[in-house]
Amino acid sequence: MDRPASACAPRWESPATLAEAAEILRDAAGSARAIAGGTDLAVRIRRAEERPDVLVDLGRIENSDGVELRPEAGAIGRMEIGALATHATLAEHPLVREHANVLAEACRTVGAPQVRSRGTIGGNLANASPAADGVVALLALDAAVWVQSASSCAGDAGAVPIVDFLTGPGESVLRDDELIGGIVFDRPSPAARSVYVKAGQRNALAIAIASVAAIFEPDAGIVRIALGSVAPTPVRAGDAEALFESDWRGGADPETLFDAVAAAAAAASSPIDDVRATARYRRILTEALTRSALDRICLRKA
Amino acid sequence: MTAAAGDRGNGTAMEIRLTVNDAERVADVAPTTTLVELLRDHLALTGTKVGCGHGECGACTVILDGRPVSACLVFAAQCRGRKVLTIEGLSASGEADRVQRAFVKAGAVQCGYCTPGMIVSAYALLSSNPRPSRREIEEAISGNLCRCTGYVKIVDAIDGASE
Amino acid sequence: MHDRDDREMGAVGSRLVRVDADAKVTGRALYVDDLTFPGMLEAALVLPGCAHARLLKVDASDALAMAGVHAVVTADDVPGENQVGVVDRDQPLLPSERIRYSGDAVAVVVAETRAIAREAAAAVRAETEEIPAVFDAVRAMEPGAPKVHDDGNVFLEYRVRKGNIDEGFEAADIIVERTFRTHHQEHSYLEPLGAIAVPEEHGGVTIYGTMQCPYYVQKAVATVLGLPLAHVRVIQTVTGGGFGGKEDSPSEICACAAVAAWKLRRPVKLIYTREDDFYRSSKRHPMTVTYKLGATRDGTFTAAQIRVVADAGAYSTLTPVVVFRAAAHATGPYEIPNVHTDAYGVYTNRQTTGAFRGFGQPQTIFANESIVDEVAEALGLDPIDVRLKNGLAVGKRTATNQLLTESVGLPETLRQAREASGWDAKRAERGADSDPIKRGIGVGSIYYGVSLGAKGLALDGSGAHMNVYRDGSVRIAIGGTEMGQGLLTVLTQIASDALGAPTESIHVDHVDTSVVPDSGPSVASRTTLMTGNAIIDAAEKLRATMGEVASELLGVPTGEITFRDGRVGAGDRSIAFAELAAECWARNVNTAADGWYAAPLSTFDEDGQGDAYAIYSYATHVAEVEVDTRTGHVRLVRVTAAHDVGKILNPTTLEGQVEGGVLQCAGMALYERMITDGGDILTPDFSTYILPTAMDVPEIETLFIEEPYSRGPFGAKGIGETPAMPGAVAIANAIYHATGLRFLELPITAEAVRLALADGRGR
Repeated sequence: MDRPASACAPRWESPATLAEAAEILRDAAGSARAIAGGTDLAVRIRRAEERPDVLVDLGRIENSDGVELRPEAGAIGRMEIGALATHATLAEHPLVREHANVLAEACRTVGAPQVRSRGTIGGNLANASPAADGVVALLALDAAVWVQSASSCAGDAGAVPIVDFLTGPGESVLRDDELIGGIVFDRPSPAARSVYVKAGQRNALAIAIASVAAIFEPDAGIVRIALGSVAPTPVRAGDAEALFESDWRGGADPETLFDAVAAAAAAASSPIDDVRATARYRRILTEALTRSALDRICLRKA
Repeated sequence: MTAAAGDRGNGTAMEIRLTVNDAERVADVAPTTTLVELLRDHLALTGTKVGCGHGECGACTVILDGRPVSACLVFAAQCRGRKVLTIEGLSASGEADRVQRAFVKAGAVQCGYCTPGMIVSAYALLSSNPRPSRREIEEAISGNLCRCTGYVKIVDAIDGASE
Repeated sequence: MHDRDDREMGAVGSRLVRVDADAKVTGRALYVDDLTFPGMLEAALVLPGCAHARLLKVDASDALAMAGVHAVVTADDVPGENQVGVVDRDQPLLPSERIRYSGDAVAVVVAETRAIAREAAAAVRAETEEIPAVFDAVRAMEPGAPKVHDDGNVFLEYRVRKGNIDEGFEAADIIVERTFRTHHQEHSYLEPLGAIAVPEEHGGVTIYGTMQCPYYVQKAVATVLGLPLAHVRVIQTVTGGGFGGKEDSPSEICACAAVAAWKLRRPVKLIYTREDDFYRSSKRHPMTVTYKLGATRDGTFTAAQIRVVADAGAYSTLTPVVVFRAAAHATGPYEIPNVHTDAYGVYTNRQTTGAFRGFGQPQTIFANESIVDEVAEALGLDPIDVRLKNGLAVGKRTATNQLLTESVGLPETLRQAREASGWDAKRAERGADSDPIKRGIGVGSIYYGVSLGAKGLALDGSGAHMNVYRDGSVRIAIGGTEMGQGLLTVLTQIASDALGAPTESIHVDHVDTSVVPDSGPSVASRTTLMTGNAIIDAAEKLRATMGEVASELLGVPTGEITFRDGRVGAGDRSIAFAELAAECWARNVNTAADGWYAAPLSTFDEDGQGDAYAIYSYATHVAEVEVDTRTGHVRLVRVTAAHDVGKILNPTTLEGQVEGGVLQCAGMALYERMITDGGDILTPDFSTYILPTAMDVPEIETLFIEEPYSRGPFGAKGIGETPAMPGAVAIANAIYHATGLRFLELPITAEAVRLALADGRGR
């Protein structure tokens, strides 16, 4: 049932920089919570699931919600996304749509327009929900997370790959005094095609029962497949990817290959039963969604 | 009302300034006061409704810096210096906005509780996309639950209000 | 004195714009939570959350120590009788000894602000001792099941006995029998329950609240405060949806606010959180329905045997009336010579169940309309042909052996829905086996007894008070409630034509119980019929008195005077209605009148035989679906909804009612399920309890058939419930047509479809 917040109202802080925010977090020694969009935190505070002493509003931090494509020496280019970029921004951003369509599509399926206006990709990551649509896409993109702490600006060199960043449902390596500064990933090759397919309980305003983010790079003959809502964290379907890579170039019959890859993706899941669906259905969905994703990105079938 | 329903009596009050419906407003709120509590309890703008309190129904939709948001998911303190437009702001001149008129004409109103949020979502859509398809309309109001109408006449109304 | 039927219709039948639309689109409409009173306090409830427990102690010391807390009100503070049961006296307002479900509240905390009240409520400790609970109605009927109330769990039984059931099945060439289950459905009106109680200086109390049944609230508040009814005034605020959910539950919340206000002598507001609403408001009854139908080879039904077990939850609330309706209508809209129906109301330790559009029928409809399709298929007959063959029509008899003499539009709803949906072609269509998307089309038909029928006779009268001012403007007080359906608008139209006064001059108010006598509940599709007729009655009285004045003024005999289009008179001798009103005022002629309408007598004997309801409404829905066999996802493509409404009063509000009902059917069929674990609701919010969004809406075509009812206002019958009734089973039948999967349980989620296919069921 709905319960109000703690007896003592928290203190409100509005730092101007990430470093300053991290210092406040450090000084509060675990009793502070950072607010990006606040769409999850507002509910948790209202339900008294969280009773922070300090609320750190990240919304005043400059240059923390941008999207940039940086051509790097020897590389194909790198996307950098500020942690405070909203789902709406990422769903609409021309650079994201052109170079990382899977992320734009995933962000477009988050909640409703009202939530996409406020919810941020950094907040999505920090919450570490296995159903976080944007995170599933980032996992497929082999993204890494910049972590900012009071003592150090981790920066590029210290970026943590998402696979290592997420450790369980609602759990990540982020410490109480750390913040997500941004997200980086190498731009997929220009020929790449990507898609996000999601099954929810209705056509909108849905939390994924199962989802698949997939990227096909025709020149390299590889796919990258990430699965949402079917394991403690979003997971990569490594065996499925390997199977694809070994057989696609050999001219395997796509129907047979895709069925096998989809089955391997389902085998990579380790879902649970909850109020939305059973584990059994989630496995079946993972297979069906993977199959559908492959049809769309490899064969351009609707 | 003398005190905000959502504030705690012993909370740390903080003064915030923001623009609501083109007017500068000042209010003392607690850090956990939400935008919808600020609007309804401090500023007496009760046109914005609360249907669930968790951002799942859209009844509290307002426009914050040009984007539709669930006012129950935004802390008032996050709105310092920002611009908020509520249902009251659409007819501030005393004349109903064309979206409001279209809802009346199309018979898109029944119990009316979802109506302010629905109209605000529609207004946000038409502000950025003056000629949306029916699909785009449906997507734009997909976060606004309505239990009375089956949405048919609501989509008709928004379609009718588009250019 | 004036026969209204020979008058040309003016406002009635037009698309008059809703009279309350302007206030609602601008945010000016005031719902209960928008109101405030000087010195008002806020309240919150203490719900221990136990499913079944002895209540040992309520320890409020921590809560009372909190700043801003004024009182913690318990059973000890109830000045009158601690009782809020609507029909049976089985429900304490605030239990003092025993908790029977997780929605039971043991205290009301009152504080300066809502947040403090809610926080303090969380600090109240209820000491309890759990006792064995029962969560399934069928199990609760078994000997040895935990008893929810000391007299046993089966508290209600209705039977219908017509003909000879053994002979009926003997005569059948085919018999199909199955057991169906449905679950709780939450009304999910967007405005949560809320109430404000204001103590008055004369010693009484005024209640403001969101509600369907102000006279129920008046009775409940008078009971708990020990006051005469005259000292309890109930004012209905603008009501944000009801659908049946604001029939019984408002009595509880209003009584809680009243007891708190009474103790503190200050206004008290109590607004439920959405979770409170899920826990405490009545739901649609889960039912287990066993249906056995016999038919001859040509598709003629010979016998139906039906057993209905309804889960009432912890208190009976409206179950006695819901189960009566379910029993009376359980065969579906067919003439069946031999009928044997048993229907039971059973206590469990679950949420209370009461009214929800359809009132006990959608559950039995799911059973009977599924079975009718199975019989048709087994005999190789078209489902619509079978329905037309057995369907009710003038001259046929219902399961209660009631002879139908007028206004039976069922056959026409079937014919028009068939035509408009392209049924015959689509039914024959079979997609390629290789296509993973399977298409299907299905039908469901229903009948619904309008108003309260034989089990609600004492409540079945309604009033109106009509006041014509000297400038010709008209204000009307009514006893029925606007909850979104458009009542104020259609009553304005009825009043306009009945009085010959323009619609712009008429204002109809929400209910104030101090003005209009007890008009019964606004339920059962009765309000337009009952209140509309009361308004016509009042208008006839005013036409008589005002007509005499006009007769004198114009020198025309009273018998020739008509009231039309704002003018009164005969031929070229007439005056404006407003002018006549001024003249009446100048002559001290009373221009206010009370109207009243009482429903005709209905009967239902011990064997369930009699004229159960005065009149019935009919509807047929045809649903078209696409089932994705890879994911199980069901796309509802199109619904054709054909309704016999007697007479269309306002096409716009009527379409709106039907379109909303169609989507509620879709919710019941495909999405909505309240999942519980013991006393805990696992889906207590709108992210887990799945309602259809704007992106889940099918194309909807509405068709209206006008088979006028001789006693209806301008021929109209009730329309409130029927839109929410036939659609769910039409969808289930369409899914069967698409996949060969016959589901015996609702909702049919994507998961249910996919796993059934994975198990090798279906085609």
